Amino acid sequence: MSENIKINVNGNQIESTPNKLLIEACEDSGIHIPRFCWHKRLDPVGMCRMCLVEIETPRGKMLVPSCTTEVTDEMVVDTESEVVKKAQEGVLEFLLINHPLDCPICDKAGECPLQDQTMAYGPGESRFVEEKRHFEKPISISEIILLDRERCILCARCTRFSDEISGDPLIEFIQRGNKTEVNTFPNEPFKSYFSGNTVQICPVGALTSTSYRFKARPWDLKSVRSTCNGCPVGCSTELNSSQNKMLRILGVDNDSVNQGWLCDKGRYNFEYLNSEFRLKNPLKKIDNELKETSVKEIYTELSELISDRNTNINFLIGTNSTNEDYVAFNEFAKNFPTTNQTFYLNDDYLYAGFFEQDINRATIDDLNNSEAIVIWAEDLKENLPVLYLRVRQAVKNGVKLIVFGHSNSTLEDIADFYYSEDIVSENFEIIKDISKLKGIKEHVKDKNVTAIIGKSTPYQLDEYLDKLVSYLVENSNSKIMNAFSSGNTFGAINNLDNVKNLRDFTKNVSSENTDLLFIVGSDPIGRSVFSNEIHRIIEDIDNVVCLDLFLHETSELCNYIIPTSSTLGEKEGTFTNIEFRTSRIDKLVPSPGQSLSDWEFISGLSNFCNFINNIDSLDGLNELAYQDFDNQDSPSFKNLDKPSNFDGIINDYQPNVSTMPNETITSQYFVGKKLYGDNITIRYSDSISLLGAKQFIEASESTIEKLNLSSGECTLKQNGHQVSANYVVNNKLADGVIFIPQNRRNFNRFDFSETIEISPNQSKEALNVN
Amino acid sequence: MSESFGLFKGLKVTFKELFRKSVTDKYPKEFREKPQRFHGRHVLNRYEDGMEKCIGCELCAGVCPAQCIYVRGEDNPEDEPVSPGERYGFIYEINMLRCIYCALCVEACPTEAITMTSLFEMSVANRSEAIFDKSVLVVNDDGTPNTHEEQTKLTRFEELQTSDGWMRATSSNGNPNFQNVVNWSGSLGVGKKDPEKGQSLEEE
Repeated sequence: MSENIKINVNGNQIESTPNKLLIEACEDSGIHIPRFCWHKRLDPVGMCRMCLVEIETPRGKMLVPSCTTEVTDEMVVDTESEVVKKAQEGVLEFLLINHPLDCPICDKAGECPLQDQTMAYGPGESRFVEEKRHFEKPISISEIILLDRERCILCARCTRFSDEISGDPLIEFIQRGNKTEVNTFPNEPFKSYFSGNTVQICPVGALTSTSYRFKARPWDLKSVRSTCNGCPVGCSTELNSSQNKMLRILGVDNDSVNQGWLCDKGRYNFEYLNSEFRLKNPLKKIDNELKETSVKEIYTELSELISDRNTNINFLIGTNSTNEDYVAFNEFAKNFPTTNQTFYLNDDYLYAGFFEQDINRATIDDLNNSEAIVIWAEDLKENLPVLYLRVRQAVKNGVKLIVFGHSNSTLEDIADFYYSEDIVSENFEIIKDISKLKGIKEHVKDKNVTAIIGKSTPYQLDEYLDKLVSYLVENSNSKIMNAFSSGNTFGAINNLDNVKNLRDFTKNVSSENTDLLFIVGSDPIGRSVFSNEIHRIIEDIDNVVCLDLFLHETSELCNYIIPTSSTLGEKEGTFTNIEFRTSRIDKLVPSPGQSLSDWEFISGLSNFCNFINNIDSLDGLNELAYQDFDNQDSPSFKNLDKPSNFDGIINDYQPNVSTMPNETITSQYFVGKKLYGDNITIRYSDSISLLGAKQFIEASESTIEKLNLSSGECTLKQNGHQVSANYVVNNKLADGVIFIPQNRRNFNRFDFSETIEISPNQSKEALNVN
Repeated sequence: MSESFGLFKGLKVTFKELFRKSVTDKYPKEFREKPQRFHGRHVLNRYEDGMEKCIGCELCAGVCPAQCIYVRGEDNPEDEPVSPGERYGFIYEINMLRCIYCALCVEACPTEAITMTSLFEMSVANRSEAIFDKSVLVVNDDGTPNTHEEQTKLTRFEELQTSDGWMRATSSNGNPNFQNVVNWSGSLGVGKKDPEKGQSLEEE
């Protein structure tokens, strides 16, 4: 590392490191320089000129933009001189020439950098009496983003974000001079999975989101810091509510996880909390009809069923609960003989994973610090979107990227080596010797490697993943990240004993060996590839208790339904992410009706059955979850509530997965998940509900020709079940591979292990579906 | 001094007061003239074309020290706009039991939508009626304040005619020389008051 250098700012000596930007060096020492275009996570561009400061040069004092000037030793800087103040006033006056004064109706007003900095650094009065520039007021550039070009101050934050960070530059400057405006390309909407971030970093109200439009003003928002439980990346979020209604989710800059970014699903999938269709009262099925009942009555009936403790109980647990909930279930299950109870996680993709002692675990930051990244997992962009951003960032920093399989086709453009077709077959089998591959020889062997390993499709064999990982472990200094992709999977496998997956559920569970089935926050019938089998099994079992937010395909079949609080903003707890970082989930809004947290229900049931109950408080559960850890670094509430631990604490868990390995390939299709699906929560989140509604299949051009699909639409048929869908041309898929998204409406009812008849429809133009 | 004289001395006060002019009014049969700056109940004003002035910006709710105002904005319906511009006051409620009649909401309003009248008869039979919503607050088509039915008996008609509009301490359009200038723009015109001279000018 290079030596620290000293610079003089406003007469004070401050220390900095070479090659640092002046604005950043000043920020680190507590000297604020006003700015609009500069953002810590984006490349500097020097668009707005608000950060002008005076530095001493051999030719005298000179104004320079501090966001594009690197510090040098003995630099003398003045950020508060008269010249600087005059420059700032001038810049603001020019910015405000065309900026409309519609602050009273602008969503940004109150937290607007332009407002704040005009108050702090601007001229007191306007000299401008002419008519301002006018554009059509907000134009919708995608389903969730609105653009008001009048308000734009051309800072290029949104365009730089789309270009550098998310890699889908769909928003750009058009025209020149005083006619410059930011806009999307004609007939091409701003269809990015990360578009919500541009709204958050916009320094004015030019980009706003439809879900927050006119809902509240910043000064009447309550907020807490929490963790997103949408996928195992566990981004740090700030939840905002007003009048006890969740209104907005913002990304918090957690340096080692999400760096301030969120995916649009994590950001906008919250409106379901306020949905009128939320379950409010416990329901019981009498004569095939659901009737309202009381929790006490359900307790009474269940306690009769289980109090002899020889009942066979199975749990089908979703990934949307907190670690404390999982501990509660685990403790409850200990009341029964171990042979009588099993936990099944609501995840098609769960498998044993690589958690052995001799395998190094990777953190997300390791992506940046390694020499190469090897990926063989589900489509990261669709399933772990912020991890995809971190991979992109690492590649930008010069890390080599090696991608196996055709599931990560969005990474092909930036991958140094993309092993599809010839090396990884259409059924995800490695058909060549790994050690002879050029990319592996050059960049992996004996190098520092971070590997992201997971199943690309539920039907993939475990065997080849084992082969790749054992090669990496033996031949390189590798760290492995297990890419499970749904919710709090890592919290579940840490806190539940012997977790199995949905495939095991279909094989092991039947009405003969199950007296009572608990279904917790999961809709396997609605989204699993084993939907039909699970439907049959659940229908057969006599007593099914369901804890959920909504009535959906699975909960409708249950005998008892308990309304629960959502993990998003309605309960407290902890969340464990993909790198075993545990962070806090916090409560902001009350849950509707008689909703209970999962642990509250289970604790009440334990009490009712006179079981030994050590799960009677949230703090107690939290202690129970982390009792094996050293007190200092255990992610207990006490430790996590210290400001230095807000970003979470990484711990060394030993997960407990005991799935049966998948030994036969049973599907000829490439089945995967898309970011937006037909999930119940997305269906009831109005602003994004349409994004997951389109039904489509993907295939390369030649495959589509072989299928004789010449028009834009096709029909998928199997055993009388029929879905009409669009097809999307994706030439990055290998020949013969047909991608079917399992989480789009009605696709769950196909049996992917059998042939689906795909026939052309009447002619319509091919739609470009995201 | 005889004791009987003392009695008359005491009664002198009584007789003096007996013929003095009474300071009480026979309210509600008679009304007293209110001062020009009287802080009575609020109204929400309209433009000459009938559009509501309120844009639902919540600045009044934000500034209210008693937190008695609840406002929610909403997108203006395109075919039937309620107010000019993108946003309108979808919900507007004032809890009159909480209000302290400080008129800070009037000062904060960027569009002169909320003003105070000289009406103060607001007795209600139950608490929920004291929460005035848009159906009561928005002025009638002729610009007169909307009233609860019970109050109508108590309210003088002339007073309704002079109750739209209230002088603010600050000019809403940012004009620093607002004193002595009519700032009331685009209002229905009922009860437009003459500009006051302002304190500095009155002294002269």
